Amino acid sequence: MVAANCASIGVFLVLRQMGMMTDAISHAVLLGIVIAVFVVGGRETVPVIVGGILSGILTVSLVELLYRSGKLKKDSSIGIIFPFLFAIGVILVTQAGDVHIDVQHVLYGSIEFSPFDTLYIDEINIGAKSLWVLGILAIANLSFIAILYKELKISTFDSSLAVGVGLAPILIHYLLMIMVATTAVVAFESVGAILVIAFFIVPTSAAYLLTDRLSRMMLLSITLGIISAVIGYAFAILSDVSISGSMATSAGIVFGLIWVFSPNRGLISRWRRLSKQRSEIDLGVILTYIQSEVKEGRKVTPSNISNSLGWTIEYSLKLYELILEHNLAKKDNDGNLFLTELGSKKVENYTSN
Amino acid sequence: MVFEEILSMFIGIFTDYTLRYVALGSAILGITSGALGCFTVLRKQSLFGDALSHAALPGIGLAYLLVGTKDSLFLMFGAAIFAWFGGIVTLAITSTTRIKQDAALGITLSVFFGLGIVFLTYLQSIGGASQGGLDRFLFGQAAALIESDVINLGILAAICFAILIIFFKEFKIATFDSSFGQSLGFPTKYVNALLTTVIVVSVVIGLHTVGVVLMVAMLIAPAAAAKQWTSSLKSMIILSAIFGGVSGIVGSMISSTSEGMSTGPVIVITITTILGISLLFSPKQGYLFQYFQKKRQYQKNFDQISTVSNEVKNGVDKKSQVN
Repeated sequence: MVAANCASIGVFLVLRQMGMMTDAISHAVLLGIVIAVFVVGGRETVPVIVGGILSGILTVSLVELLYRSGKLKKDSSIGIIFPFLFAIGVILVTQAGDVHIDVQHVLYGSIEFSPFDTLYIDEINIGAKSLWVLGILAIANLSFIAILYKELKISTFDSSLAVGVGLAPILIHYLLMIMVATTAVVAFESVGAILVIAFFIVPTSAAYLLTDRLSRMMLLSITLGIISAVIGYAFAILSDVSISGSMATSAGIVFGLIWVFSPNRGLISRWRRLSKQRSEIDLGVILTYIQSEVKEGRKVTPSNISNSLGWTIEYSLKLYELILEHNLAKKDNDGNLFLTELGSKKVENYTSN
Repeated sequence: MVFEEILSMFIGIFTDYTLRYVALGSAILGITSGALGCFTVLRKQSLFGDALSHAALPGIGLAYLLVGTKDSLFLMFGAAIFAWFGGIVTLAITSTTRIKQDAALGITLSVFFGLGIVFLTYLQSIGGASQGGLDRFLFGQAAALIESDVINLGILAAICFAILIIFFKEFKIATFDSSFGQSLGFPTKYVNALLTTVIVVSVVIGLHTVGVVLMVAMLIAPAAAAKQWTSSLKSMIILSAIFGGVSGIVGSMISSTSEGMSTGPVIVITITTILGISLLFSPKQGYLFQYFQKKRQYQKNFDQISTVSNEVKNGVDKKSQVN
């Protein structure tokens, strides 16, 4: 559930380059939560969420204030505001011994306990409380995206157009931030502040490597998020470690695999493309070289090639054989190379380009 | 009365054994991270430090798992290696894919941190109580610093400063105009790697005192504050180191006066306060100064406009008289 929630909104965050803002918000909600607990005196869901949202908005506006003033860069202002708010939160927590918040749980959550915190209606157990809250949140998030899909899309990709057609990108920006804060607060109970970021950013980035379409990217990132959550959960149960920690790790592994193997943007395909480009270029070089050498009446042998083009003998031999194989050039009776018609055509292509 | 209290706090630094090392350790951290933070701020890599400090966590867990001691030097070594690795992964993601830097930082930060948590909880499940001390790296525990820790920190900081002084020119060029540096034949790649290494070391120092989460403030805030007062790199570094050191000492003194106040957060709040003061009151760049300047400018404009309009009026009067 958390995975699905975070992944759907995370798409917009990654595309808007606000990844680290999420980091800031998810740390800063601690302050809001703590204050809410102080004011209300308990951990009721609604005031906690409200507190978290307020502190999330506070964070975003403080950061914007600092960096709009032109005195600090955006990343610096993020990096100053959130540790400050977080530090206040931590001090408040440690000062008030009677508040039942464990700072470590804020950071890495305790999803394993959430099923025990069940909700009762007329003394009938209707399941884990956090599951219900998350479910409601998921519906809220999805309907937020569904209603404002067009607006979000436009303001994400072309904010000046959005202003032009009368949408309010700033309003949408803050709405998005509110959704982030809400999700962070709710998720904080189950996975903890830092791992919220893992679910916000990692599956989305992985999906970003797989597709270009916004809608597809959203579906993919939700799927990837759920997959990594399930794998992480299984691993955590098997080896008795923190569930949210292993979920984040498995999300990282999923991302790593996609990073390496993605069909269009993965490391392997990138490497292939680069080497293909290089051999394409080298082919052009060698054919042109042969043509000019033949024109000058000099002999062309593999060792000549490697000498004058500065390649290793092995590489020259490989290309030499490749040329012969593709009928771009032929050997005459003395073992010298000359270009075939196909080869000359190709050289003409290269030189005319 | 307040004065007496402050005085006794100062005396405490020299007499109280624990407080002395806590203050000393925090000061070392403040000075080093303050000086090196200047580079991260100027290179617009402020949040890089955040990712690095989170990425160091699995290193601590793994080092403990392999070596089995809580000797701070080994743990720091593990932390440094992982922080370095995290930095490399971040750079690799941004340079080989279309993922932007902020998302790349988020990925490194959260995944490495998750891995760190996995290690820590694994240690907890097999180890019983002996690994309890590892938790302190999350929020830092300056209060637990002992003499040997402080000596280790001091040595590391001294190495950092030696490197900083020796390679000052290279760092400066790599920060402000790396393509120019490259054209002059500076090995920019190596300089960058060295700079990252030094920053990693200062992050590792910070893990002891303020912990993984708040470390980023120690890198950024002093540098940002110093930037308000000066525009020369050298004086910015010195000023930033002073700010960092002062906030380390003041923070640890404040936290020692009240029970249950952890040192790390107090230090962070102190340094942020210094930054706030700098933003408000610094000459030329501060909010207050700019406010007054604007006001004066308005007054000047207003005066000018009124004199001009008076002149115009008088001129019109004269004209009409002539006619």
